[in-house]
Order: sequence, then structure tokens, then C-alpha cells
Amino acid sequence: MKIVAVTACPTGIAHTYMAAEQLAKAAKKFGHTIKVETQGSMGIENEISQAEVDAADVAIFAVGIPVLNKDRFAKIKVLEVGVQEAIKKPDAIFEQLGK
Amino acid sequence: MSRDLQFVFPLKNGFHARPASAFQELANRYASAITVVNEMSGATANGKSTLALVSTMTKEGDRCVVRIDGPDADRAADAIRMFLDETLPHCDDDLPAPAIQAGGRVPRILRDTHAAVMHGIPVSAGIACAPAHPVHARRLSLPPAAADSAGSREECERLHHALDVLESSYRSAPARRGTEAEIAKAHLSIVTDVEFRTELESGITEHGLSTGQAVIRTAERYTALLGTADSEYLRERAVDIRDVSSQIMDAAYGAPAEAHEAALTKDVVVVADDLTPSQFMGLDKHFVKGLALAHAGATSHTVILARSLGIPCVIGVPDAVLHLAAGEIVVLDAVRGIVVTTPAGPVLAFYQAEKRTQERIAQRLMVHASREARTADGTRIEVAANAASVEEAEKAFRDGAEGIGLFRTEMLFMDRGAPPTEDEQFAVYAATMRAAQGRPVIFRTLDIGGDKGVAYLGLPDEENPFLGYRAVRLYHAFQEMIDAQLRALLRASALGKAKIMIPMIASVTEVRAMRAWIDRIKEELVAAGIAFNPATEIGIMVEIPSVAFIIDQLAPLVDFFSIGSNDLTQYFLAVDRGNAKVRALYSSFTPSFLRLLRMITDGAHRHGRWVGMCGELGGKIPAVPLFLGLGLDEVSLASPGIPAMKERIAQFSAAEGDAILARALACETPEEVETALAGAAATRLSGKPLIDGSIIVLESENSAKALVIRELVSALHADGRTADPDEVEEAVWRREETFSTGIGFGVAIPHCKSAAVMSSSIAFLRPAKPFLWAEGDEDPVNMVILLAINDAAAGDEHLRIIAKLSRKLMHDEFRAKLIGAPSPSDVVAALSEAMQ
Repeated sequence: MKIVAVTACPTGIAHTYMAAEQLAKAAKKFGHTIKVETQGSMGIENEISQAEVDAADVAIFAVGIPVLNKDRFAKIKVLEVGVQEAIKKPDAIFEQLGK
Repeated sequence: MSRDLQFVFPLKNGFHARPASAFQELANRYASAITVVNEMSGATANGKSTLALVSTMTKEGDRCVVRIDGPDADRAADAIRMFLDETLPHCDDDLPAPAIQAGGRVPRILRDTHAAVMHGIPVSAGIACAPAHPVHARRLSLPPAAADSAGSREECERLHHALDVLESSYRSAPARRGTEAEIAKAHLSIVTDVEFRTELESGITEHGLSTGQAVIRTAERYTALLGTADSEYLRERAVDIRDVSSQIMDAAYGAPAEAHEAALTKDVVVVADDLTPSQFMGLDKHFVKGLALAHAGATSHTVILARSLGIPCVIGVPDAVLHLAAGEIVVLDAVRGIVVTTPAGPVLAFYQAEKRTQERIAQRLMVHASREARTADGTRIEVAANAASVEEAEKAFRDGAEGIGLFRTEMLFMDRGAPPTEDEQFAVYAATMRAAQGRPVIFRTLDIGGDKGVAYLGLPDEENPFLGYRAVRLYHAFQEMIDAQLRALLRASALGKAKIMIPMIASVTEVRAMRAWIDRIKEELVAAGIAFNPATEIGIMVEIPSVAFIIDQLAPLVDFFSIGSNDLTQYFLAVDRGNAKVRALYSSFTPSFLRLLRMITDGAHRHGRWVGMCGELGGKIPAVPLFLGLGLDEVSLASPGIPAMKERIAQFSAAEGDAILARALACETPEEVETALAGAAATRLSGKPLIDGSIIVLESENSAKALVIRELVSALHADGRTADPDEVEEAVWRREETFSTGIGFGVAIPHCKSAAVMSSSIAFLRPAKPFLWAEGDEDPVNMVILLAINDAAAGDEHLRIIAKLSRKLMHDEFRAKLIGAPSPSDVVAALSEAMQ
């Protein structure tokens, strides 16, 4: 599967990046390709383009605050989870995607 | 002849001993009968008796009448009218307002444990945990020999003899200074009080009592009367009656052994209503770890002594503190201004840790105390202290003051019945010069009037005291008093670098007049063959904005300028900072004000004049880059801040100061200036690395979330990464409330972004015993990493590094390395590697 993901948390110092790392690690383990955009204290990094969204099968939002530029994801199936969930149980997210 | 005078009682503490004794003193100068009637309560009193007046329980706002009847009623009425209008309203000027409620913020642990907290005002910083030691007026008891000749003539003689002894000992009191003399005067008015004496005598002659019994009966009568007063202050004055009564008893029968305070044998926190300097000096200071005082003035001599000895002190504590039993453990937190009674285990543990943190900070800063203040690139700026007494000056030099930038001489003039003599003043100025050992001391001539009243000057009430008759503006009306001060100051100039500074200057004319005045005094001294330094520097306070525009005209007439930032700010911005409704508009960081400051410093330097700053802004450590940018030659502040001020100065270069000042001058609001300063501190701060060994705790004994967070925050505090640990702690908890920062894998990463963090930091802690970070967590945490980020650091390199570290923490091998690291330096190494 081709996945795009966005992570974001209230302070934007740490959880955003931890979740991004976990999603990337787990995706690899499940044999998916993934691009994770972080919306944290450093601003938007590793930004996902509209073309990348259009080419993807599914989007994951691991967030604790509203996602910026959300309209990019208007036409794609989005799985929204808590940022903590992505950190603590990333595998569960991908298991759910498989269903 | 008779006259009636109506008045409304003006003092919020009621008709207490001080105004009553002043009234009685005046009334006793006239033959006429003088009666005071409180029309609200109907209470009537002999105006010649302090106690009778006090017993009327007159409160603020009560309508009263003074009835004067006798041959000199007209003269008496005129004098009393003047007293009621001009002196009476100022009788309370230097008393602390009752029921002071300080800020109210307490450390989190006190809220969490519902600790019993009393708020006061910290006047000498520090922390003490020790048993309470109440010091109060002695209890009256009948001496064994007291009842022998009750009712007889010998008893009357014994009483009169005792009263005479006491009266003459009080009368010799003016030789004492300040507070002590004032108390003696209040006590004298009780001993000589007509009603009090009549009451004592009638005890013997009419009721057949002994002197001792009569004293007890009289004391009980008046203390009971005062004890039911509505005013807290009046109730407290019962102490004076008891004090005087026990002294009469001593004079009549000799002092019993237990009259002397039992010697201290272990550490205590002294709790008292007020403590006279002699009571305080009588205690073994080695064991006095702190003072909690209900009614002491911030400028009372006891407080000044405590400060000079470095003994923590909180004043304005509620009266409940007086009910503490001897030996009951209390915490005196004179950093925040609170007293904690019956502290629970966690609170004691918290304060023990706080004390260790304070000690670590003091150690860190002490190296700076003895150093000359210089910027990172070697530019010299003098760091001096503000002082109001010899004791404070001595303490200041121990704290590393390079001079006294402001010696407030008005303290010598307050709390007494007449101005100090030239010799009395000279003794204080000379002792200060000796303490200075060649360092400069700037003595500010009398700055009185306006908000600082002194009853004996008889200054009128003013609608706008800050724009009125004060400081240099009233010198001409008190020529002898100012002559004496200038003579005393010039004499002190023979002993070192004494400088004279004139307050409230607005014009060239005033400076010319003062120079001529000083020249005249110099001629007199020369004529009398008295030594002084003819080149004594004369300077002025810059506190009226007009001065900023005539620096060129003033420079030829003065040797130096010193910026009084408080008054200058309020005059420049037209904001009374005592007015809660507009206080928010008062800020010395207002960009227009900073531009004014630059005009002043540039002007002074263009004309080759030295310029310092002695107001509150001069004590603000975050403002250091501004001081450097302005090119101030000196800053003067309260002495405990001196080591930290020197440390901060050493962290910036003069060029950085220029750049930061330029940025501040371009800001539009004071908040922007403060943010710019916080940012400057964050980026510049001593080049502190994000992490180092001093903020790593291994084998922590704490194994509870709250304690661990505090321990980490205290580590930042001790290492100079925050000056406000309570706020950092609150910020961490605010973040924690959105959702817990336990991330699983035995790791928690509490964090915050706060302006109270000066230097972004990663602090690390491993508990000896793993514990659950939050209810419902599966794994106990064995590693806690506190990420404390400076508010102004958004987008900076530190955040990038922390983002990297956060990702790294998701990897098992990295966590294993942190868990297994045998020493702090191994932790630093592992973290640093991850952040590369």
C-alpha cells in the first residue's frame, strides 16, 4: 500500500516526531511505503504534495490538534488516530488498515 | 471660653497609641480642659490621656468633636485644628497597611497537599524549616513580696518611685536611634498618662491593693478594653500596656530571673508581633534561622538588621502566626513570602530540596561576587548597591557591591520626632564610608514629602503628592535641616569617595541654587577649619523628564547623573503605578521610555559625564543587554541581586548590547521588548549546552510524578537555566493536563515552552524505583526526560535537535543505552550522539 501520513501535537516539541518515527518504522515492517509530514515546532516538514495524496491509497492523521492544509485530503480515505496511539501502538494502526 | 472642633477621623488603623500620644502631648500644653467625643459611639475621653483616647475605639471615618474649655481655649483650638488637619493624617505613614495580602502564588506541592499557608511580604530572602519560637511580651505575675503593705502609704511611695524610675529611663531614650526611640516615646506616654496613673493610685488608696496588684488590675482593665477593639492594630497595642506594666513591676520589685528571654539552644524560627531591635539583638543569632513578624515595617531597624545578617524574614504575616506553640515546626519561605504551619512530610522534603538548590545557586554565583563586573569583551560597568543604613551597606559590600549607587538618607529622618542632628548624621555617613573602604558612595540628600511624609515637618496634605512639594523643592523651607545634612555629608567626604546627589531636579536654576548652597557650606567648613574633600562630586537624579532635554545645559554644572527609573517612568508615561486601574500601562520596557534613556545616556556621554541607574529597572537582570547598549557607567540595585547581575553582564559583549538595544528601540510595545530580551538571553546564555552533567540525576530517590518533575525543574534552577522554577513547573503541568507525557517503553517526556526558561534544556532523571507515570499506564517509567524550551526559541536549532532526539527515543537500542549508562557523563555522551 502507498500511505501518506500527518503527525501533529499540541506543543509540537516531541510527540509529533516520535509518532512520525513510529509510523515510518511500522510501515516498513508491514511492507508499505509511507511519507510522513510533520506539523510541529519546526513548522511543516517533509510536506506532502497534492499529487502524492492522489497517488496514495490511504492517509493517516496521528494528531492532537487540527491538521493544516487539510483540503489536500478531501478525496482520500483518512484514518485519524491519536498521536499517543501512534507512538504506543503503531502496529495496531496498520492492522486496522489491512481490514 | 470654650470652642468645639469637628473632624472626621482619618486613619485606617483607628485612634491607636501613636496618634493618641501625639494628640495628648499637644493637649497637655494647654490649661483648658480638652475632651474628645466620638459622635458615632458616644464615647468620651480626656484629651490629655493617651489611654482614654485609645479607649474611645475611634475608627476611620468616625465623626468626632474636640471640646476645649478654659482660659487658653482659643490658642489651644488653633493648635489642635492644625494638628487635626496636617499632622494627624500622617501619623500612620510608615505603618504597614493592615491585612496585607501578597501575590498568592504558592508552589504546586503546597496546593496539592492543602498545606496551611500564611502570606506575608518577603523582606530578607531565604528559607528556614525549624521549630517556632514565639517571642511576646512577658506575662504579668505578682512577685512573692508584693502583698505585704497593701493600701499603705509605703505602697504609694513604691508605686511613684517605680513610675519615676521608668519615666526617666524612657526620657533618656532619645539618645537611642529610630525605632527604639519611637517605642520609648510611646511607652513614655503611657507611664505619664493621667488616666493610667490615676487608675494605678486608686488601686492602692481606694481598693487597698499593693503596687503589684494595682499594676495587674490596671493592665487587665486596659488590655481588656483594647482587646475588644475592632481594629486589629488597636488589639495589638495591648502589648504595649503589658510591656509597660511589667516594667513597672520590675522597677518596683526588681526584675525576676525569668524576665530575660531564655537563651536559645537550637535552631528556631522566631515568630512575633514585632521585635524591637534590642529584643532581636538579645537573641543568639546563631540559632535564629528566620523571622516571621506580624506587624513590622519593611524599613524597621529589626528588618534591616535581619537583612544585613542574611536571616530570612517575612513581615505582614496574619496574627494567627502569634498563636503558634513553641516548638511547632514551621517553614518560613522568605523567597515567596509565605509561612507554612504544620507542614506535611512532602512539604518538608520539598523545602529541604529547595534549601539545597538555594545553596547550589549561592555557590555558583559566589565566584562572581568578588569579581569586577565586566562584559564578555572586557567592557567595564560598575555594579553598585542601594542601601539605607550602615548595616545594609556592610552587607552590600559582602555581596560584592563595587560601591553604593544610592544611599537613601531619608531613613535617618523617618520614625522619629525631630530631624537628626548633624553629628548624628555624620556618624552614619562616616560609618558607611569606613565600610566602603575607598569605594564610591553616592549619598542622596533628603528625598521626603510626596508619598514619604514625616510628621515633624508639618507638610500639608496634597492632592497630587508626586507632582507636589517634595525633595529639593522643600529644602528652602527647612534651611537649617538641609544645612546640617550638607555639612555632615561634606565632612564624610574627607573619609573617602563620598558623592552628593540631589533628588527631583527639573531645571538649571535648581542645580545652580544647590551648587551655591553647597559652596556656602564649604566656605563655612573652611572657616571653621573642618576637613572635607573640596572636589566632592555633585550629581543629580534624573527622574523628571525635563532633565533629559537639558543635559547639555546641566552637564557643566554637575559631575554625574543617576537615572531614577521608577519616578522617571511614571512621570514620562503619566502613570501612577500605585493605581491598580492603570498599573498595566507602567513599564520601564516601553520603547518610548527606552528612547528617552538613550537620549539621556548619549547626552551625558557627549558632554563627558558619568551616568548610572539606581531605580528598579537597574535591578532587572534580563535588562542587562539594554544597560550595555545604553553604555551606562553603573547600575545600582538591592545587594542580594549583585552576584547574578555580574554573572549576566559577563555573558554579553558590549556590541551585542548595542544590537539588542537597537532592536528594542524599534519595538512597538513593552511586551515585544521583553520577548526580544528573553530571546537574546536564550540564544546568548552562557552558551549553555542543551544538556550537561549538572542536569542529570541518576538513582533519584523520588518515585512519584510530581516529585520527579520538581526535582528536574530544581536542577534547571540550580544550574541557572531558569530564575522562576515555580512557573516552569506550572508550565510543565499545564502541558501534562492536555494528555500525559508517558510515551510507553518506560519513558516519560514532560515538557514545556515557557518564557521562564532562559536556556533551553534537556534534563534527565532515572528513579531508583520505577513508578507509574499516570494512572492506567502499563509500564512503570524508569527514565524521565524533561524538555524545557525557551518561549522565544521557536524554529531554532534546539528544536531541531530535540525533534531528532524524539525520533531516536523510538528505537530500543538507544533507550537501552540510556538505561544502562553508568554515569552522568555517559548519559550526556549517549544523548549528544543521538542529537548529532
